[in-house]
Amino acid sequence: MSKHDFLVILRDRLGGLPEKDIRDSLDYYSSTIDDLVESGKSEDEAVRALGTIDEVVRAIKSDRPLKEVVKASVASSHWSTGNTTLNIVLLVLGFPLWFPLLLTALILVFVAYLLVWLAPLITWIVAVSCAFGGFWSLIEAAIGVVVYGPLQGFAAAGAGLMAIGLGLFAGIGAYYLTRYFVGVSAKLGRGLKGLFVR
Amino acid sequence: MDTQLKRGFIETCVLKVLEESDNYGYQIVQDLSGIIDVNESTLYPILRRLEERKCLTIYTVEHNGRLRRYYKITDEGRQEIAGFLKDWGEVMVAYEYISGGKKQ
Repeated sequence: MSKHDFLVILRDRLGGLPEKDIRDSLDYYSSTIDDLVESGKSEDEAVRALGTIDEVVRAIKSDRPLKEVVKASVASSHWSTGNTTLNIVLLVLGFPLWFPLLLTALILVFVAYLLVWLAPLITWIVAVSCAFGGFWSLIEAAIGVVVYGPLQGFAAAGAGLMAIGLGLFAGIGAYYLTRYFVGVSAKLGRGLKGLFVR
Repeated sequence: MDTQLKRGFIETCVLKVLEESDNYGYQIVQDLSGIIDVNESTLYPILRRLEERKCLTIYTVEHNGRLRRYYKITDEGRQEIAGFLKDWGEVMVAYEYISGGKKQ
């Protein structure tokens, strides 16, 4: 591919980013191709040394804020007519179609997060209720010794200690599950950004 | 290597190249070859970030009838290198201890 073709395609793929950013990227890549050619490469080899267009676009967009990337992604997508007024008219006319679709997508994302967090949440609830229940049994045991006699009292105390032990185990499990799912959530978030950074 | 960590390394390596002398993209990649994995495309966002953080400035020079952009390190950039060396000095002490090279 020639330098000219590369820059034309790159400009097209960056459409939607602020003009200043596009200008800056094109200047950099144009200058770099010239330097590669000067080092003895052919124009085609120089362009290939930069990687594929996708890789170059990804590198440029990688540190832009998500807002700009989404805007650029929408502007350069095939769904855009390139005419703002027409885009708005089509958006309004298409509302009955795209709104339910968007709503479904948002609900799916929400449900995915909910499902991811359900396991640690339940474990925490088990841990806390076991611990509370255990302590309460101990208090009851103290009363039980006096009211019903030592046998019932000890039985209650034993049950209480068991519940506290179970609560501790569940607590440790919940702690590790939470740590693990923080990572999963972060990956989910990055995955969402990845949908826009092509 | 962790992406964030690697990014920090590349940024500081680029600043180090510029501390030696003002330089341009292609030559920076050449100077760093064999030290850290970076090419002309991955260098671009790094230079932009460093520019946004005011660690470097850009100027253009006419070269063979075209404009070539040069990058120049700023005082903030030099401070960044100093900060990196200080932080990693502490890390290296811990590394020596963990790897069993030097008992504390």
